[in-house]
Amino acid sequence: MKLLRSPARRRTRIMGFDMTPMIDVVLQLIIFFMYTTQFSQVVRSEVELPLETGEEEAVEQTDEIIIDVRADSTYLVAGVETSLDDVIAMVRAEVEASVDEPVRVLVRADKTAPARPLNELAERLALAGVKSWRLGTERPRGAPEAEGTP
Amino acid sequence: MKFEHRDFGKHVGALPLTTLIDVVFLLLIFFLVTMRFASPEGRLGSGLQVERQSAAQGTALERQVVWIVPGEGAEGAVFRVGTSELGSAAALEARLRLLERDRGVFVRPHPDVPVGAIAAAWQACADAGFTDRWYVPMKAGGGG
Repeated sequence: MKLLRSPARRRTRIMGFDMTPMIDVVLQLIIFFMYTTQFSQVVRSEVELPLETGEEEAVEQTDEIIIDVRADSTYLVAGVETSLDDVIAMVRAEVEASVDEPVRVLVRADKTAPARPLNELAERLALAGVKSWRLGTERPRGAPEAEGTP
Repeated sequence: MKFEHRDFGKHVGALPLTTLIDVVFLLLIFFLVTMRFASPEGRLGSGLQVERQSAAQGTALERQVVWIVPGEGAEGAVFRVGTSELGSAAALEARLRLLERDRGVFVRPHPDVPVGAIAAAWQACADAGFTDRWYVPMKAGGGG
Protein backbone atom coordinates (compact mmCIF):
# COMPACT_ATOMS: atom_id res chain seq x y z
CA MET A 1 0.00 0.00 0.00
CA LYS A 2 1.37 3.21 -1.07
CA LEU A 3 0.32 5.98 1.18
CA LEU A 4 0.15 9.48 -0.19
CA ARG A 5 2.36 11.89 1.51
CA SER A 6 0.48 14.34 3.64
CA PRO A 7 0.93 17.98 2.67
CA ALA A 8 2.54 18.70 5.99
CA ARG A 9 5.39 16.42 5.18
CA ARG A 10 6.11 17.82 1.75
CA ARG A 11 9.42 19.43 1.51
CA THR A 12 9.25 23.01 0.38
CA ARG A 13 11.82 23.75 -2.20
CA ILE A 14 13.35 27.15 -2.18
CA MET A 15 13.93 28.33 -5.73
CA GLY A 16 17.54 29.38 -6.13
CA PHE A 17 18.19 32.70 -7.83
CA ASP A 18 20.40 32.22 -10.83
CA MET A 19 22.94 35.04 -10.77
CA THR A 20 24.73 34.21 -13.99
CA PRO A 21 22.39 35.98 -16.47
CA MET A 22 22.18 38.99 -14.18
CA ILE A 23 25.94 39.32 -14.10
CA ASP A 24 26.03 38.97 -17.87
CA VAL A 25 23.52 41.78 -18.26
CA VAL A 26 25.35 44.02 -15.81
CA LEU A 27 28.66 43.46 -17.58
CA GLN A 28 27.00 44.25 -20.90
CA LEU A 29 25.72 47.51 -19.41
CA ILE A 30 29.17 48.39 -18.17
CA ILE A 31 30.67 47.77 -21.58
CA PHE A 32 27.92 49.88 -23.12
CA PHE A 33 28.57 52.80 -20.80
CA MET A 34 32.30 52.55 -21.28
CA TYR A 35 31.93 52.89 -25.01
CA THR A 36 29.32 55.59 -25.01
CA THR A 37 30.96 57.89 -22.50
CA GLN A 38 32.30 60.71 -24.59
CA PHE A 39 35.78 61.20 -23.29
CA SER A 40 36.51 63.79 -25.94
CA GLN A 41 34.12 66.17 -24.23
CA VAL A 42 36.45 66.38 -21.26
CA VAL A 43 38.79 68.69 -23.15
CA ARG A 44 35.96 71.01 -24.14
CA SER A 45 35.75 73.80 -21.64
CA GLU A 46 32.45 74.71 -20.13
CA VAL A 47 31.01 77.67 -21.96
CA GLU A 48 27.35 78.37 -22.31
CA LEU A 49 26.90 78.42 -26.05
CA PRO A 50 24.13 80.42 -27.72
CA LEU A 51 20.99 78.37 -28.18
CA GLU A 52 20.63 78.20 -31.94
CA THR A 53 20.04 75.38 -34.41
CA GLY A 54 23.04 76.26 -36.53
CA GLU A 55 23.26 75.53 -40.19
CA GLU A 56 25.10 72.25 -39.83
CA GLU A 57 25.53 69.54 -37.32
CA ALA A 58 28.77 69.63 -35.38
CA VAL A 59 31.19 67.09 -36.81
CA GLU A 60 34.47 66.53 -35.04
CA GLN A 61 37.25 67.91 -37.21
CA THR A 62 40.73 66.99 -36.09
CA ASP A 63 42.39 69.80 -38.02
CA GLU A 64 40.17 72.53 -36.61
CA ILE A 65 41.46 75.21 -34.27
CA ILE A 66 38.95 75.59 -31.47
CA ILE A 67 39.00 78.81 -29.52
CA ASP A 68 36.74 79.23 -26.52
CA VAL A 69 35.72 82.67 -25.34
CA ARG A 70 34.48 82.74 -21.77
CA ALA A 71 32.00 85.14 -20.24
CA ASP A 72 34.87 87.10 -18.66
CA SER A 73 36.34 87.67 -22.15
CA THR A 74 39.29 85.30 -21.70
CA TYR A 75 40.39 83.02 -24.49
CA LEU A 76 40.96 79.29 -24.09
CA VAL A 77 42.62 76.84 -26.43
CA ALA A 78 42.37 73.17 -25.48
CA GLY A 79 41.17 74.20 -22.05
CA VAL A 80 44.21 76.39 -21.36
CA GLU A 81 43.83 80.12 -20.87
CA THR A 82 45.76 81.83 -23.63
CA SER A 83 46.35 85.46 -24.51
CA LEU A 84 45.02 86.82 -27.78
CA ASP A 85 48.55 87.32 -29.09
CA ASP A 86 49.39 83.65 -28.47
CA VAL A 87 46.16 82.53 -30.10
CA ILE A 88 46.92 84.57 -33.20
CA ALA A 89 50.52 83.30 -33.26
CA MET A 90 49.15 79.75 -33.21
CA VAL A 91 46.72 80.51 -36.01
CA ARG A 92 49.34 82.29 -38.06
CA ALA A 93 51.62 79.26 -37.81
CA GLU A 94 48.77 77.07 -39.04
CA VAL A 95 48.03 79.42 -41.92
CA GLU A 96 51.66 79.36 -43.00
CA ALA A 97 51.82 75.57 -42.71
CA SER A 98 48.56 74.96 -44.61
CA VAL A 99 49.26 75.90 -48.17
CA ASP A 100 46.48 74.11 -50.01
CA GLU A 101 43.79 73.78 -47.38
CA PRO A 102 42.17 76.78 -45.71
CA VAL A 103 42.58 76.91 -41.96
CA ARG A 104 39.43 75.98 -40.08
CA VAL A 105 38.65 78.01 -37.00
CA LEU A 106 35.80 77.29 -34.64
CA VAL A 107 34.92 79.82 -31.96
CA ARG A 108 32.86 78.65 -29.00
CA ALA A 109 31.84 81.85 -27.27
CA ASP A 110 29.77 82.14 -24.14
CA LYS A 111 26.41 83.64 -25.00
CA THR A 112 26.67 86.18 -22.16
CA ALA A 113 30.13 87.37 -23.20
CA PRO A 114 30.24 90.82 -24.83
CA ALA A 115 31.07 91.04 -28.51
CA ARG A 116 34.29 92.97 -27.79
CA PRO A 117 36.61 89.92 -27.43
CA LEU A 118 34.89 88.27 -30.38
CA ASN A 119 35.36 91.38 -32.50
CA GLU A 120 39.02 91.66 -31.53
CA LEU A 121 39.52 88.00 -32.33
CA ALA A 122 37.73 88.36 -35.67
CA GLU A 123 39.83 91.35 -36.64
CA ARG A 124 43.11 89.69 -35.73
CA LEU A 125 42.12 86.44 -37.46
CA ALA A 126 41.21 88.29 -40.64
CA LEU A 127 44.57 90.06 -40.59
CA ALA A 128 46.33 86.72 -39.96
CA GLY A 129 44.87 85.36 -43.18
CA VAL A 130 41.83 83.44 -41.96
CA LYS A 131 39.09 83.85 -44.54
CA SER A 132 36.20 82.22 -42.70
CA TRP A 133 35.26 80.88 -39.34
CA ARG A 134 32.42 79.17 -37.58
CA LEU A 135 30.57 79.95 -34.38
CA GLY A 136 29.60 77.08 -32.09
CA THR A 137 26.02 76.90 -30.88
CA GLU A 138 24.04 74.57 -28.70
CA ARG A 139 21.22 72.99 -30.59
CA PRO A 140 17.93 73.18 -28.73
CA ARG A 141 16.53 69.77 -27.85
CA GLY A 142 13.92 68.71 -30.36
CA ALA A 143 15.29 71.04 -33.02
CA PRO A 144 14.83 69.79 -36.59
CA GLU A 145 17.87 68.34 -38.33
CA ALA A 146 20.11 70.95 -39.93
CA GLU A 147 20.53 70.86 -43.70
CA GLY A 148 24.15 69.81 -43.64
CA THR A 149 23.52 66.80 -41.42
CA PRO A 150 24.80 63.58 -43.02
CA MET B 1 44.95 4.79 10.30
CA LYS B 2 42.19 6.61 8.83
CA PHE B 3 42.91 8.46 5.74
CA GLU B 4 40.40 11.06 5.00
CA HIS B 5 39.64 11.28 1.40
CA ARG B 6 38.87 14.84 0.74
CA ASP B 7 36.95 15.31 -2.35
CA PHE B 8 38.03 18.59 -3.79
CA GLY B 9 36.15 18.02 -7.04
CA LYS B 10 33.04 19.76 -5.83
CA HIS B 11 34.86 22.97 -4.84
CA VAL B 12 37.26 23.39 -7.77
CA GLY B 13 36.61 26.68 -9.59
CA ALA B 14 34.00 27.92 -7.15
CA LEU B 15 33.99 31.73 -7.25
CA PRO B 16 32.77 33.97 -4.48
CA LEU B 17 30.01 35.57 -6.48
CA THR B 18 28.96 38.07 -3.88
CA THR B 19 32.20 40.03 -4.07
CA LEU B 20 32.16 39.94 -7.83
CA ILE B 21 28.65 41.34 -7.94
CA ASP B 22 29.59 44.11 -5.51
CA VAL B 23 32.50 45.17 -7.69
CA VAL B 24 30.41 45.01 -10.83
CA PHE B 25 27.69 47.19 -9.33
CA LEU B 26 30.25 49.68 -8.07
CA LEU B 27 31.69 49.96 -11.57
CA LEU B 28 28.24 50.43 -12.99
CA ILE B 29 27.42 53.20 -10.54
CA PHE B 30 30.77 54.85 -11.27
CA PHE B 31 30.11 55.00 -14.99
CA LEU B 32 26.53 56.14 -14.49
CA VAL B 33 27.65 59.02 -12.32
CA THR B 34 30.63 60.11 -14.39
CA MET B 35 28.99 59.83 -17.78
CA ARG B 36 28.08 63.21 -19.20
CA PHE B 37 25.62 63.49 -21.97
CA ALA B 38 27.15 65.95 -24.37
CA SER B 39 24.75 68.60 -25.60
CA PRO B 40 24.38 68.50 -29.37
CA GLU B 41 26.23 71.39 -30.94
CA GLY B 42 25.61 73.23 -34.14
CA ARG B 43 27.78 75.44 -36.30
CA LEU B 44 27.21 78.80 -37.97
CA GLY B 45 29.74 79.79 -40.58
CA SER B 46 30.62 83.09 -42.17
CA GLY B 47 33.41 84.92 -43.92
CA LEU B 48 35.66 87.26 -42.00
CA GLN B 49 36.53 90.80 -42.94
CA VAL B 50 37.83 93.91 -41.31
CA GLU B 51 36.39 97.32 -42.06
CA ARG B 52 39.06 98.46 -44.47
CA GLN B 53 38.84 95.20 -46.42
CA SER B 54 35.11 95.55 -46.92
CA ALA B 55 35.50 99.16 -48.00
CA ALA B 56 38.26 98.22 -50.41
CA GLN B 57 36.00 95.74 -52.13
CA GLY B 58 34.35 98.62 -53.88
CA THR B 59 31.02 100.26 -53.54
CA ALA B 60 29.62 99.05 -56.84
CA LEU B 61 27.32 96.74 -54.97
CA GLU B 62 25.40 98.20 -52.10
CA ARG B 63 26.20 96.21 -49.04
CA GLN B 64 23.32 94.75 -47.13
CA VAL B 65 24.27 95.25 -43.55
CA VAL B 66 22.78 94.03 -40.31
CA TRP B 67 23.94 96.30 -37.50
CA ILE B 68 23.67 94.84 -34.03
CA VAL B 69 23.64 97.60 -31.43
CA PRO B 70 22.86 97.71 -27.70
CA GLY B 71 19.16 98.04 -27.03
CA GLU B 72 16.14 96.63 -25.32
CA GLY B 73 15.45 93.88 -27.83
CA ALA B 74 14.65 90.26 -27.03
CA GLU B 75 18.28 89.17 -27.39
CA GLY B 76 19.65 92.11 -25.39
CA ALA B 77 20.33 94.08 -28.58
CA VAL B 78 18.54 95.74 -31.45
CA PHE B 79 19.03 94.80 -35.09
CA ARG B 80 19.18 97.54 -37.71
CA VAL B 81 18.67 96.86 -41.38
CA GLY B 82 18.53 100.01 -43.45
CA THR B 83 16.11 102.27 -41.61
CA SER B 84 14.32 99.43 -39.84
CA GLU B 85 14.97 98.73 -36.18
CA LEU B 86 14.03 95.21 -35.15
CA GLY B 87 13.79 93.88 -31.63
CA SER B 88 13.84 90.13 -32.26
CA ALA B 89 15.54 87.54 -34.43
CA ALA B 90 12.21 86.47 -35.92
CA ALA B 91 11.51 90.04 -37.07
CA LEU B 92 15.05 90.27 -38.45
CA GLU B 93 14.57 87.08 -40.45
CA ALA B 94 11.30 88.36 -41.87
CA ARG B 95 13.01 91.62 -42.88
CA LEU B 96 15.98 89.80 -44.42
CA ARG B 97 13.70 87.69 -46.58
CA LEU B 98 12.79 90.89 -48.43
CA LEU B 99 16.41 91.49 -49.43
CA GLU B 100 18.33 90.07 -52.35
CA ARG B 101 20.14 86.95 -51.27
CA ASP B 102 22.67 86.98 -54.08
CA ARG B 103 24.32 90.11 -52.69
CA GLY B 104 25.10 88.52 -49.38
CA VAL B 105 24.88 90.19 -46.00
CA PHE B 106 27.32 91.80 -43.59
CA VAL B 107 26.80 91.28 -39.87
CA ARG B 108 28.30 94.14 -37.90
CA PRO B 109 28.05 93.80 -34.11
CA HIS B 110 28.78 96.59 -31.65
CA PRO B 111 31.42 95.59 -29.07
CA ASP B 112 28.94 95.84 -26.20
CA VAL B 113 26.21 93.52 -27.46
CA PRO B 114 26.06 89.95 -26.09
CA VAL B 115 27.28 87.03 -28.18
CA GLY B 116 23.79 85.54 -27.98
CA ALA B 117 22.45 88.41 -30.07
CA ILE B 118 25.19 87.91 -32.66
CA ALA B 119 24.37 84.22 -32.91
CA ALA B 120 20.67 85.04 -33.24
CA ALA B 121 21.36 87.47 -36.08
CA TRP B 122 23.67 84.98 -37.72
CA GLN B 123 21.02 82.29 -37.49
CA ALA B 124 18.38 84.65 -38.89
CA CYS B 125 20.62 85.33 -41.89
CA ALA B 126 21.07 81.59 -42.45
CA ASP B 127 17.35 80.91 -42.07
CA ALA B 128 16.52 83.73 -44.50
CA GLY B 129 18.57 81.92 -47.12
CA PHE B 130 21.77 83.96 -47.18
CA THR B 131 24.72 81.74 -48.02
CA ASP B 132 27.19 84.64 -48.37
CA ARG B 133 27.55 86.05 -44.90
CA TRP B 134 30.37 88.20 -43.62
CA TYR B 135 31.30 89.11 -40.08
CA VAL B 136 32.74 92.61 -39.94
CA PRO B 137 33.51 93.84 -36.41
CA MET B 138 32.25 97.30 -35.56
CA LYS B 139 34.22 99.85 -33.56
CA ALA B 140 32.53 101.43 -30.57
CA GLY B 141 31.01 104.69 -31.75
CA GLY B 142 29.81 103.27 -35.06
CA GLY B 143 26.23 102.25 -35.51
CA GLY B 144 25.14 102.54 -39.08
